[in-house]
Amino acid sequence: MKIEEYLNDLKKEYEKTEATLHLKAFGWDELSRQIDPTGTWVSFLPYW
Amino acid sequence: MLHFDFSCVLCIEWLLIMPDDYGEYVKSAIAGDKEAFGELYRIFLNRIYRFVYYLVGDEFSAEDITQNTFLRAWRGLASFSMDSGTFQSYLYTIARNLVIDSQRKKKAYPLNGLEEVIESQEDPVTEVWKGEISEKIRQALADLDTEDRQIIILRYFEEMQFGEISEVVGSNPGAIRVKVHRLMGLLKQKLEGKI
Repeated sequence: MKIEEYLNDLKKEYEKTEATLHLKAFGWDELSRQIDPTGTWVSFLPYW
Repeated sequence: MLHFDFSCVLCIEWLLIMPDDYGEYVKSAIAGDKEAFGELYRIFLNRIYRFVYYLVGDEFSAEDITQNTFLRAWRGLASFSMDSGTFQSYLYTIARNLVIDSQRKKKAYPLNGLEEVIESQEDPVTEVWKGEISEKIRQALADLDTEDRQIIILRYFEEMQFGEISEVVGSNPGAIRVKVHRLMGLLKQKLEGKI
C-alpha cells in the first residue's frame, strides 16, 4: 500500500471533523454582531 | 415519529450549494452584502474549522481562530480581488496566519496536535487505524512541524493545486511541489523505519 493511500484513509477521518455545535448554532450570530454592531438583524433559530 | 437528522440537513445544503457557485456570494460580499457573507460563512465554516483544528489540536482555539478568520476576511474584503487569487485561498491564508500568531503567543506549541485530534474523534473508524503502519503514518504526520503539516493537509486533504497552496503559504508553486515531494519522501522513510 502506497503512502498516498494511507493519506487517503487519514483524509476520510479529517473530513469527518465538523465545526462545533456552538459555531454551527451561534457562530454566525456572534460574527454578524461583530461585523455590524448596530445591526438589528436577529436570528431566533440556529443558523443551520 | 419524524426523526430530525441534523447531518442530513448539512448534506442537503452542501449538495444545493456546490463550491463553484459561491463566486456570486463573494462578489456580493465585496460590495458590502452581509447576508452573502453569511452564506460564505456557512459554506466554508466546516472546512476552515477542520483545517485549523488539525493544526492547533484543541476545540477552543480552533473555534476562536475560525471566528477571527471570518472576521478578518470580512474586514479585508475591500482589498481582496478575485483576479489575484481564489476566495478559498484568501480564507486559508488568513486562517494560517492566525494559527501562526496563536503559536507565537502560546510559545510552547503542541507539535503532537494531530495525534491528539485523531485520538479524540468520537467516531473511530475502523480497522484502518488499528494497523501498525497506520499508526506509524499518523505519528509521522504528527511529528511534522506545523508548516509542513499544513502543506500536507492542503495538498492531500483539501486537494489544492500547488498554485493555490503557494498563495496560502506565500511561496511559489515550484517550491511547493518540491516541498511536497520532500515531505512525502520523509513520511515514506519514517514509515519504513529508516528515520
